[in-house]
Amino acid sequence: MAFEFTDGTTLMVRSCILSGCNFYAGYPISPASKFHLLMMTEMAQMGRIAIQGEDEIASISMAIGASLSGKKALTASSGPGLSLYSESIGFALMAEVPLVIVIIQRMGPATGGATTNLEADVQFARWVTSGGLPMVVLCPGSPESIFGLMNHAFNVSETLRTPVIFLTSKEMALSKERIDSRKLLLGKIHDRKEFQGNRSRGKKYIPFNIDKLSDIPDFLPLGANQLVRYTSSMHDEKGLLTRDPQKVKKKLVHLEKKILVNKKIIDRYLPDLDAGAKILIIGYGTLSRICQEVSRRIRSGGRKCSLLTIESLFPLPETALKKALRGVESVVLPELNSGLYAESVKPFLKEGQKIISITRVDGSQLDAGEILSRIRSR
Amino acid sequence: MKRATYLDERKKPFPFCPGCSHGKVLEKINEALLKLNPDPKKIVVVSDIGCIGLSDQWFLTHALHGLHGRSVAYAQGIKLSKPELKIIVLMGDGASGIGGHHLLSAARRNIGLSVFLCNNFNYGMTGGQHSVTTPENYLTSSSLQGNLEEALKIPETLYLNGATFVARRAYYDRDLISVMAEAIAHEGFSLVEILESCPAYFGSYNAFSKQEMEKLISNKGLDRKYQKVNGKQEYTQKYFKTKLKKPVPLSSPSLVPRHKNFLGKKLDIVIAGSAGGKIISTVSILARAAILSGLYARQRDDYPVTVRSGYSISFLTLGRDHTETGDITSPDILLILSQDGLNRAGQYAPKMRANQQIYIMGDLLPIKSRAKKFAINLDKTNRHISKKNMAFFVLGSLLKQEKMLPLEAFKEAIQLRPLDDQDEKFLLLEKSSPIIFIPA
Repeated sequence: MAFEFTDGTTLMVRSCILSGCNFYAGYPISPASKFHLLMMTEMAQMGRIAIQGEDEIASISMAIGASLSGKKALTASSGPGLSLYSESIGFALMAEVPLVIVIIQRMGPATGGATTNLEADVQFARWVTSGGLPMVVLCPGSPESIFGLMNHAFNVSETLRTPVIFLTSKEMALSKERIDSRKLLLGKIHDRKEFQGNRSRGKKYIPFNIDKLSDIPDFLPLGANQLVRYTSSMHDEKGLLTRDPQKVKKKLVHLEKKILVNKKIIDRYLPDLDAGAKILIIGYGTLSRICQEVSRRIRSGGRKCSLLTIESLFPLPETALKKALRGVESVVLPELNSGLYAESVKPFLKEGQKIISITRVDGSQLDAGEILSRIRSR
Repeated sequence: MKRATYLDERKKPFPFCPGCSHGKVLEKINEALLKLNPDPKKIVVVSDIGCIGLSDQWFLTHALHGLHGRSVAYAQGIKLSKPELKIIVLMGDGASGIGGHHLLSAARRNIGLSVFLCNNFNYGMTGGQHSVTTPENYLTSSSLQGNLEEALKIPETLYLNGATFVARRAYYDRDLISVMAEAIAHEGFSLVEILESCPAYFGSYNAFSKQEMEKLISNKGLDRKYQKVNGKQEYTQKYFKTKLKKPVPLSSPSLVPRHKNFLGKKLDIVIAGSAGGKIISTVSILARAAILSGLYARQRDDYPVTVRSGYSISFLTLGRDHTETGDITSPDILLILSQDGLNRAGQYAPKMRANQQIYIMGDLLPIKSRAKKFAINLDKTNRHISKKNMAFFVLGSLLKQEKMLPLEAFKEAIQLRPLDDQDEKFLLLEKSSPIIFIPA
């Protein structure tokens, strides 16, 4: 049996490297500075590309340019940086640019508390840009799961050609603990599909050509043997600007459908359901393991209790959630914010089901004892 | 093979207003490319927002069209990824305002891009508002009193900050094509500012003509420029040729438990001192020693934004197995090594119980708590313990007093990472002793 003593940041960087990330651009910010530092040195050591942009907008823009040149690209920041990424994330959605964005949350809004933990950017990550399109947000529930989830972020981003936010927090990124090395499982690597010619349209590359609305267009990089064209503006399948209502509609429905129809590829959750339980605990982020402890204590007290740990926050794993909700009377959802994710769960509740939103916003952690006593008091 | 054109002739005319000089500039870029005759598949035209941003669609090259002012940043990502490509950036004066920072940094890096800055002195696309390059006192739709601001002189600024090729020309200059060709052929960062005419707005507000342009050039210091620096390495080439001066290992040492431990129940320890006291790294050694002794360990650190001043606190939880308890609020052992540490971690003392322990530097007493208190008196050691060794020395002494895990495990943990001061640490560990703890 072998262990190591390390932090979430180191595990994130290692899984990025192993997932094949070969372009990093970032700008230092607490509590993501260590991530930046490790990427800058590790990537250079491996002969891959890492550059410190003059700001967050430069960094994500460089990453977009790199991704469209065929690189597996990544940028990283905290909440303030996510604010600055906003418009560029819209570009990545519109031009179908694979891109992983690591966000290590700290207390907001604005400069907030640079070294204080809070996990209040959950809905911000979901609705980060204009246009109202679905956004993929993944959030690790334990340091060990960082490994596989980071590779999953790249897989989803590459295969669905979409930006993916990998959302974690200071607590997960900078706390060190004993890690069981055997649990660090990367999983398979899936890269974007390169254009090899196409049955109906021949060998001519059309950058945004799809048959079905939920299809993912094949990729060719800038500098390929056929000319390619990418744009942040509304475009037709050739990447030329358009205002034609038919083409506009086709593009926007496609951007929505390619995520929603392929949701099963994105879903990451861990059900631990107890048949006949009246209580369901939903855990995500750093509270995932604390929720496991809460459910263990409830069960050891002789009561039934279901538990659902969610790592693919958005799009919501609806099927798993509906299944977990069956027969339950109350849903406990502890969060290190004002109850933000609870708002996304509420629409799934049936009549008679209530949500117990347990929140904390003072920068300290919720513990199992407090969650239990707050469940009892409701 | 001599190519006929880099423009999509079937798509012409260009979409610009009558009298606009953008079309003429695009034709000249085409002429410049024809002079050099590069493979169009090795060229990427990068544009962003503004009238000139429409033009990438007229080029028979690779193209990327993005957000306002960010073209230079995309271009750098492309260049770094594919250094063999020629990157041509087309941007307007608006973009040079909103994205001026990117221009400056690209110039400082001397990264291989050819930027054509099409300066028509105003925002044509949004209705003729003043931009960073609108000359002082000239009229625009948003400065009808005459522009109150001084115009930004971009080639001069970039040259001062590391660009290795800058030029300024008017769109009708005879040598514009050859200057453009030189810019494209240049290995490092190049920028050509092209003074243009916007008949729809800036031109009509200021009764603009070629004579007026010449007046503007001489009165506002927009002289034709041509400056080139040879011999400075291009950024991408430099990146791949430069090695790290100090490689950093990313893997953490593998810990195989081979020692016993004497821990009965979960133990929460808080060690509070000052920055520079090596609190965090010392606590990590203890954590690794615990893992080597078959225990679970978790460490959280707390420090202000300015890491080299103020408090430094580590929270360490040791247990027989992984436990989730949230924050430590009532530690089993509280170690206070400095006034900074007391200021920050003193809050735990009143919450502590009689079966818990506080170890505190003697001069920081008294402290209110029901916990069992010990004064730390380093004079007992007959040796000077420096600030950076204090946490290590006290923790070593604590380990000898509390005996939660064997000293052998602690020694092994010290050796896990190649530390410069390993010998010093072993000596300190040998000298450490519970005699420094005096019941208070």
